This record gives sequence, structure tokens and C-alpha cells, in this order.
Amino acid sequence: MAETLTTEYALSTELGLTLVVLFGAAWVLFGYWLGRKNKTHEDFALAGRNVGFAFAAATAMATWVTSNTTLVAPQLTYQFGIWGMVGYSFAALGLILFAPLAKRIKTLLPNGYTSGDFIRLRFGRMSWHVFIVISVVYAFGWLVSLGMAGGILLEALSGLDYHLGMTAILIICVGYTLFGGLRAVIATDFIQALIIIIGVSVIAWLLIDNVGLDTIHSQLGSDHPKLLDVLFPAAIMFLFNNIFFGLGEIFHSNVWWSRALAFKKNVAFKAFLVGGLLWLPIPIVTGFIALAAPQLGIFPPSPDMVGPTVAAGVLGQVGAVVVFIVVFSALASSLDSLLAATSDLVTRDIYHKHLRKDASDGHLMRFNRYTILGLGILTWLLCMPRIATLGALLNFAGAFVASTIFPILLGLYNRRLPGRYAAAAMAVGTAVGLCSYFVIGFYVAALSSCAVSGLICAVGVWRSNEQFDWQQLDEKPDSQSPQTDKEQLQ
Amino acid sequence: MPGIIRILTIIITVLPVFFSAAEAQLKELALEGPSAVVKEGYFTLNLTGTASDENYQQLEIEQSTDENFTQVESRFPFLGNFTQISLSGFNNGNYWFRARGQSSDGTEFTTAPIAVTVQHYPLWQALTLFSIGAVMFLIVASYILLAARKGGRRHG
Repeated sequence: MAETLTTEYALSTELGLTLVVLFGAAWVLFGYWLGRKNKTHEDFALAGRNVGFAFAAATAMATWVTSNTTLVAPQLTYQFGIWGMVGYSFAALGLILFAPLAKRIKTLLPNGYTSGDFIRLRFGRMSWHVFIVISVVYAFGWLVSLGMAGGILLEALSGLDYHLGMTAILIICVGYTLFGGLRAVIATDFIQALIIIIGVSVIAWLLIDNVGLDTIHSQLGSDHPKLLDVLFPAAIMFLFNNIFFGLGEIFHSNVWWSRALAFKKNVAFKAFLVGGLLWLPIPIVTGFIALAAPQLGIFPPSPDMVGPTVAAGVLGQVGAVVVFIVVFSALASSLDSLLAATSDLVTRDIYHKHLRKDASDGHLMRFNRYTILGLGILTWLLCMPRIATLGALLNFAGAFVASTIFPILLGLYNRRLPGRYAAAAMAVGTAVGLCSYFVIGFYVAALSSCAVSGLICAVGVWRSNEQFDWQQLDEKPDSQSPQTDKEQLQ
Repeated sequence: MPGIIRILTIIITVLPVFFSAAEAQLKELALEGPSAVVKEGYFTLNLTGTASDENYQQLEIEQSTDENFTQVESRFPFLGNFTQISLSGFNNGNYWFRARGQSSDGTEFTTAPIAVTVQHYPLWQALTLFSIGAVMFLIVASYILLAARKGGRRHG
């Protein structure tokens, strides 16, 4: 039987707000300081294509440590037990398998800006339209989940109203991304990666020291036996679904493509590999926290609140501050990356390539900033009604992104996959994934989407006689207006 | 002055209605759970009919295997002032739950019990999906590794 214990919040509302203001001000000022070096749109969007190994590996790892890892990994562990924890850590395979792809991307698209560039050049307009819809849905799914996570974090730790916490984290991340661009995003990611690794290790060590593995095991065995069951059916279904969701997220998203293009030559492969290996144990640690919940008599109102609530419950006020800093860093490192990458996609793929082909470099940089602001406001509006749990919301996006795995993969390595099959694979795969999401559950959406998309791609390759010319991917840089660039440099 | 008297009259007339509504609301405290069979072993229970400014004490869920709660198997305390609770890790079976607590004036209450049925997916369904996933993952991983090796040799 669960022990009855204190159910008070670990932090006072005032302390929670003070931490938000202090941290927020620090990150925004840092972003402003870094942003002074941005002179061109390429500086702003791709950090001058000159990011070295240490920053590259840190940003890969820190961006992938997000609300997913710090809030959803405990949620899935609370719901699916040990499979939730282990299965979640397999999302590292997304980063590891993207390592060779990143090298290939850098070779094939030396002047590329976004993943949308690749789809447009490789598969044509029809595929590009489908791809943009998928990218936008995913980006908003992730952005909304991150904004929600900010609100949930503060609510769980300090009882602060969800809407206030969510608004605060959005203002802070929009603020420093607006000032600093990708350079600020990568630099803050480096610091945030260090905070996350140290913080998560401290929390896990203190948790084991305070609660003990034996007591956790015996409590789960008596009151929540399914969490320890290796033959837990829904959890078994979830396992590969999560892997394909992770692969789909990374393979298609401009968050990762912009990094592959921003890293120095020969850095991308090593950076993603090391980033993935560093990331692998983190969901195990954050997920493990949730297994201690029943022993401590902590039963959250929403399963996505379990991680910070348990950590704060065990570690007290000081621990809650550590939890706040770690989760806040994790959220910020992803939210800023996503804002930067999505605004690049909108600026480059939609605005520059379709609406204002003659836009100057300075004009694009300004438009990019307005887009970041607009995305922030739209995300805020979508976060206001708390529509679903974080896990369910994220896995809804899984139906979309998993359909891009095979088109991206074959598009990068196989000359024969035609654009119409790539478009059909993404559209039909997404539709089937969504049907599975609603008919069966969120834990099969990505798997079914990827399976159908892969089948259509296989038919496409089998029936096609096309031989795509890789040179077509090397789009030359646009000519820029010297006058406006000069203005910009001043 | 007549305006003030009219307002006071309205307040005096309406106030008892509010009070009786609040009392009725307290009486209507109920526990709500999943209406369909739970296939994942986790679900959320919600205490409804609560006043927004009410601060319940020692609010907890009791779990039993029978409707009369002859033996309380487990107790799950609510977190903070929340009136919703998420539970997980249940095996196949029928479970009975009720909420118990104290309102701020010290009145103890227990809600009517509700039943939750947990029936997990058949294992063969789960293992079929697992196998499809495993085969697909092997295809993706081996394709990337082979293509990367081939591409590396060509570019090298």
C-alpha cells in the first residue's frame, strides 16, 4: 500500500516566479550578446556554416534532450513501466543513424539551407507541398508541447498557474532566439547540455540514495505489477513506434538539417554520433524517477507531471530548484532550436523561394526575425487550451513524421525514387498513421505510417527507370543586393 | 436610494439560491473514470462537483476489489489541490474506486464507488506489431549502413 505523504508543492509560487525571471533575463542577455556577431542572413540562420565539434555534439545532444526527455520519458515510464523507459532511450538511434545522413547532406547540398530545399530539388513541387504540411504540423506539435511543458513544470513544482508558466517560457525563448539566431541557440545549447548532464546525474544519485531500489521494486510489484512486466502488451506495441517516431522527427526536421549544414565539414558525422551516445542514458535516468512515484505516494493529476513532482518530492526545495534548472534548460534548448529552424523554413522555403525571390539578405534576416515572433505568438495561442497530455500530443505528430523516413532515406541515396511516389508515400503514410492513432492508440501511429510509406516507396523504386542527377541538388547561392547588404553590415 | 434598495432586495433574494446551489454542489461530489474498458493499464480519475475555491483535506482515492469496499486494497493521495489523479500499472481485472476526504469545514465525505475494467491487448497482437517494427528497423538501419559505406567509398 502506498505511503501517505505530504502533497504540498516543493517551491513557493514566489520562488518559482523569481527563478523564471532570473533565468529568463540571463538567457535573453546572453542571446543579445551573441547576436551582435550576426552580419548576414547566413550568419543568423546557419551560424556562418562554421560550427566546430564540441559545440556541434553539445547542440545535437541538448536539442534532443527536451520536454520529451525530461517530462515525457517519466510520463511513458509511469504509463508503460520499464519498457517506457528503455523504449524511450532508443530514440537515441535517431541521432546515431542520422550521423551518416548528415555527412551525405553536407556533401550533396553544400549551399543548402533547409530540409525543404532538399525535397524541392530532389522530388519536385508536389512532394514539397506535402512535406511542408508535415513539417509545419510537426513543428507546431513540438512547439506547443514545449510551451505546455513550461507551464506544466512550473505548475507541478510551485503550483503556479499553467498559463503564466507557459507564457513566461515562451517569452524568454522567443526573446533570445530573436536576438541571437542559430549562433545563440547553439551557444546556449552547449551550456544547457552541461547543466542537463550534471543535473540529471545528481537527481538520479540522490533518488537512489533516498528511496532505494529494493523498496521501489517491491512497491511496484504489489500495487502496479504491470509496470515491471516485460510482456506488457501496450508497452511492447509502443517500443518500435517510438523508434520510428524518433527517426521520423530527426530525418525530416529542419532542426537537424540546419545543424548538419551549419557544422564544419567532417564534423557532422562525429557530432551526431557522439550526441546520440551521450543522449542514450538520459531517458533511462529521467524515466527511472517516475518508477519511484508509487513508493512515495505521489500520483499526479496528469501523467506528464510525474517527473518533476517526484524529483522535487524526494529532494526537497533545493532539489526542486535543481529540477527546475535542468528541465528549464532542456525546454529552452529545444524551443529555441525549433523556433530558429522553423522560421528558417518559412523564410527560405516559403517566403524567399515562392513569394519574394528578389529579397535581399538584410530583408530576409528581418523577415526571419518577424517569423520567430509570429511563431512564438501562434504557439502561445495554441498552448492556451491544454488539449492533451504531452505524450499523446507528441505521438500525434508521429503519424506525420514517420511517413518521411523512407522518402528522405531513398531520396539521399537512391536515384530511382520518383517525386510522385515520394509524395504519395508521405500523404498516404500520414493518413494511415492518423487512422491508427485514433482507432488503436498513440503508440502505433508512427509504426503504421512508416510501414505504409515504405511500401509505397519500394513500389516506386521497383517501377521507376529514373536516374536522378545528384548535381541538381547543388543549388548555387542567390545573388544578393550589394546595397542592402552594405546597409546590413553597417 | 430606491436603486440601492432594489439591488439589496435582489441580493437578498438571490443569495439563498447561491447557498443552496453550493450545498447541492457539495452533495453532488462524484468520482468519474474511464467509461470504456482500459487496454493500457493506466487511466485518470476525476473528482467532479467540487467548488473551485474549496481546499479539501486528506483527499485520497480508495481501491477495492468489491463494490462494498469490504477491504481497501490501496490508497492513492491526490497531489496538492488537484482533484484529478492518474493511476497506472494495473493488471487485467475489475477494480472499484471511491474518493474520500474532508471539506474545509471539517465535514468528511465519501463518493459513490465507480468500477474500472482493465483488459490488456492480446499478447499476439502486441508481438505481431513488435515483429513488424523489428523487421522494418533492420531494413532501415542496414540500408543506411550499407549506403553510407558505399557512398563513402565512392566519395573517398
